[in-house]
Amino acid sequence: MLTPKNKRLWQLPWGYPETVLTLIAIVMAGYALQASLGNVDFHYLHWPVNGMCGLILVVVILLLAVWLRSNPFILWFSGVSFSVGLLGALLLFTIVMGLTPQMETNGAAPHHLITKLGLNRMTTSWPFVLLYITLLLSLGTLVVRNMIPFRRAKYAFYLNHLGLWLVLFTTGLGASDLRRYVMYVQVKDNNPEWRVYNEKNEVLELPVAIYLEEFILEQYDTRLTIIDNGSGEALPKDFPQFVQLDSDLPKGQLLEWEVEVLAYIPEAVRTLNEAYEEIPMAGSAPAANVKITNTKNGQTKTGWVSCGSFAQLYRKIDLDSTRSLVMTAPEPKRFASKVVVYSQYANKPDSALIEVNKPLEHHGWMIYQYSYEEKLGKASPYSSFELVYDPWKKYVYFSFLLLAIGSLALFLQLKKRRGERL
Amino acid sequence: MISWDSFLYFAMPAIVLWVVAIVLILLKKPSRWYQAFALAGILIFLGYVVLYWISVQRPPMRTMGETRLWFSLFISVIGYITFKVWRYQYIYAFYLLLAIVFTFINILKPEIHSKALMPALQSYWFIPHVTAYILSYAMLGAATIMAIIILVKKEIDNERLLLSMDKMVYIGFGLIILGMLMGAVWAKDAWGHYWSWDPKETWAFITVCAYLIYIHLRLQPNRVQLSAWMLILAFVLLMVTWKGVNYLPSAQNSIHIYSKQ
Repeated sequence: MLTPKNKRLWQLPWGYPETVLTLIAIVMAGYALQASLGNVDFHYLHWPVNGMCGLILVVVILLLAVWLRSNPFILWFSGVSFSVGLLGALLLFTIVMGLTPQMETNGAAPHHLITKLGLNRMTTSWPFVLLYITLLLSLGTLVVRNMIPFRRAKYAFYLNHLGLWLVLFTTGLGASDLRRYVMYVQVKDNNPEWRVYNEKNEVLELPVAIYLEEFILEQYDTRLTIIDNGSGEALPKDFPQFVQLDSDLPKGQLLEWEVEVLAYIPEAVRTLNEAYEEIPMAGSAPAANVKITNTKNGQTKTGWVSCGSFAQLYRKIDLDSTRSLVMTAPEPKRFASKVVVYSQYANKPDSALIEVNKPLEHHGWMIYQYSYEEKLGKASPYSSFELVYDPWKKYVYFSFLLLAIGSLALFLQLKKRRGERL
Repeated sequence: MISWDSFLYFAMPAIVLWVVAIVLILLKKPSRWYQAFALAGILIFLGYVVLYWISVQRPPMRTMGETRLWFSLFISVIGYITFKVWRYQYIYAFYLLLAIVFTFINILKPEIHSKALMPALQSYWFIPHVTAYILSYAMLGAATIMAIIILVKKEIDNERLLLSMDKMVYIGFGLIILGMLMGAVWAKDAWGHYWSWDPKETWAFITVCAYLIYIHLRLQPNRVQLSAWMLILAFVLLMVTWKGVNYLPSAQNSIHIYSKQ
């Protein structure tokens, strides 16, 4: 917006000075609310309260954009200067947030200044919430003001601005309706489990029950490395070296030691004569028979190494007084649960395999593989699931779709506007 | 089998070819000469990325060093394409220099790599999510170079250069939003929420705000210089998002930390 040179402050049309002062006023109001009320509690905003708030917001936007569409104040409020200022304010707040460790609940040090100002729970602090509402109002007014009259040539503008508005609106208001519980199910228990824990660790009963037929854990092949006996750190300290184990019996170099793998058993159990044998079972652990040669003095050693498990001790080869050759603990490659899901919604139980990134949808509930008893690995007696109920999901996905098409439209944008080829 | 240890044998020839291309640009030699050298470098680099991907048996996008690998490749390719479109030799030389710098960092500070890919990362969203981001970083890096040239050479009236800079930002920003949306859908599939203000996500939000400020400032015609500065600041914030988050005390539990093993 171009402003006359000798314009006084608060004389319309407004520009950057008024933008900055308005935003400071909004933030101050936010801190006044923060000081008296503490952080915003979104739990009160569940349906239908969030629906009412959304409706009020939409009505206000329509009034501003239709009734006052050529009012200079509205032109400023939905204009470039104000949007730049508002984005700047959000930028500053999120930079503070990005540098301050964030807490999930009102935890430690309630009288600490950082907690009082809501800096460690930024997204529920009043100034941030007020900026979010201001953004919805300003952006919404801009969209509606430009929709009348509708122009096809502005398609990228509509997709991006309406898409973003819908993303902010649906995720913000929908957040309070999202229910999230964790369920721990014992393997082959007598009865299906329907008790869950909520975020406050309270036990609740759900209309959905799960029976766990089998828990499956696949692990990656482990690696050999040399550690410092004192610190337990892999050497060399900042660039640790590893020899990846696999069935091809690799050879490698760790520091001044040449490592030759003579045998590698992914599921091994230690036998009476101090060797290892392949016995796939819950407590088995990877083991390798290794020949190591010191390239400096030609000294060789042969022996077994194993990372151990809950049922077996680990085993290392001492290289000298300060260093040993060890095997790293295996990392999980895939974990999955074979389940049968029962519910009040369905007559027939639902058999499924649930794994990470492959949740099961059951009548509006999403069931995610959550965790297992990591210390016991394959022998974990239970598998845990996260059950999420999110009635706003389809609206959020619709807004994502608009924004995604809008982003693709950006690739062609300036080409049309200035008639040049890219 | 090709491993990270062989990187030097591909990187050095690529660097030498790119350096020759830069020298030829500075000596104002015919463009087909330096194009040939630059392309040869790109092909060698691409060859390494392909062979390395096959050898690690997982998408090589998990560690800082691997994302730098893609950045070098993308910026050299984008440099070539922008040169073909706009014919700015000197900007092309800058892109090649940037590719060389990132390749050098990878030689000097490779950061360790392993085969393991944790279950949460095993998704068809992994490759498009990371690729969209690294591609956008390269695009926005390219735009930042243009902003620096505009400020240093005082070219605020060079409409053609301004248009190229804006185009780069629009495409880079579109890619950031696509990367973000894919990440949100992926997170919903993996954990049941789109966005959890993980430190990397917070910094991605910061980056998006910064580029949105640039895009909107550019709608006001008399703010070219301020816009150029904003673009540089935005890229600094982008670098924090890409690299800095790993070192922030607020990010020690982030799911987006690059693997150190």
